Amino acid sequence: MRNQPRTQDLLVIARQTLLDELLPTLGGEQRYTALMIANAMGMAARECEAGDSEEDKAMTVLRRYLTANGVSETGTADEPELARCIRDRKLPAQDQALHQTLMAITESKLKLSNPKYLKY
Amino acid sequence: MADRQAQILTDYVVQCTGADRGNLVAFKRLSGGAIQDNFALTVELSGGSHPGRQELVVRQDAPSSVQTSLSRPQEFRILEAAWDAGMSAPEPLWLCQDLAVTGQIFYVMTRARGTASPPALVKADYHPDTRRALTRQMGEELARLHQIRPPRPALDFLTVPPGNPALTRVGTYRDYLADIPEAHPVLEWALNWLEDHHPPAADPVLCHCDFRTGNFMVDEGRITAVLDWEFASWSDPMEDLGWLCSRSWRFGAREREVGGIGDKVDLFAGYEAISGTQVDAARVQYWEVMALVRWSMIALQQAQRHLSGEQPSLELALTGRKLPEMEYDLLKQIQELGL
Repeated sequence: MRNQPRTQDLLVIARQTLLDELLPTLGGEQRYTALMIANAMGMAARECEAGDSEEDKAMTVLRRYLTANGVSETGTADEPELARCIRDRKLPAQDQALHQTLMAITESKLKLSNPKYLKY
Repeated sequence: MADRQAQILTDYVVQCTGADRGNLVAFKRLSGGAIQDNFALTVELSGGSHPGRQELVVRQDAPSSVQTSLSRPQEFRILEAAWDAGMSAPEPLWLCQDLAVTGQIFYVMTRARGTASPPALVKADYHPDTRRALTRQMGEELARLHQIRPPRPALDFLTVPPGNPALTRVGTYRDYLADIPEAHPVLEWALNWLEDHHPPAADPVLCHCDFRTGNFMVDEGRITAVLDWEFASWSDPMEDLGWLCSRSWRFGAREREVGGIGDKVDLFAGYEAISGTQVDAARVQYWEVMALVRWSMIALQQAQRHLSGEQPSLELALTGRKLPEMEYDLLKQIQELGL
């Protein structure tokens, strides 16, 4: 229903224009502001491109873990439920599977907010 | 406006020093936060207690001040204690609590040479000996600070933590997480680890609580002044070393554990030389994990200021999106230390 370019492509070209044409003309604090805008646009473009795919992958891992550990009271296997179970000490602290689940969720978020961080 | 304020402050300095005469040489606003205004003031004085050219910093409350940390008078007392302990800190000169002067409470301190800029310091091409000496000096400065122990009448506004400072922090952070709608299972998990692995309570000492690259001035490889004392409190001394070595404060130079500048062997050597005690490396690592959680809490609070509409700001908004980085570091570091 929409004309081309797509939303994520608009964000990509807008961000690139900001960096190529505006950033070189700016000094001091304004440079920092422009870089922050570019950062926000990069994140938005990645999220637009990814749609729900990253979140769906993470939710699958999370649901599998919570189901396997039989702790889902409300029947909603989501992040708040996981947080509650951890806080209430319903899950074994030293559990590798829990660590893997938390890491899968976190990597999924990082792929969108700052994929470069995954190299650390 | 700035000229008038500059002249008012020049006159104030003349009055404090008992100078016969004072000339305003330069005045400019330094980059500050939303909570404080900092100004660089240079004056030329004849006679009085401080004759000659004086390079000063005036630090005062911003008009829309939000009381989240120490007040200016309290900060001034902390600076006096640090200065007396022989630290490289700005020399605190005069505290003005008379609102008639500039309309805000302010204090005047000496201005230090150098830069505090994290990118500049982390990218500096130091000779290895210089780098090691600088890192050692960080340890020496903290050790001097940590010689200040309660009770100190001038610092009676600081509360001595009732129990174990680590557990006090865990409790505070749990309460905060309970208050916000967003779920953070990794932070809950990390708080459990911090509770389960806490070290025995150490005797509290005066801690800076934000000693990191970005908060000390360096000139030609030497720290000239430790800045930003607004979070100082009585705590476990290893908290300061943990914060300095946190993965969050290496500004891209991840392999240099001490502030993106140096190595722990030098930091500890400097600390031990002044303190006469041996640094427990495992304890520092515990406080590095605490540092990741503490920074996560600060980031969440900053994001909340934007989300609530209190202070719409791109910088605050982006800070909220940094959480996965701290959570990633927590998952990795706790795994390395042992689940």
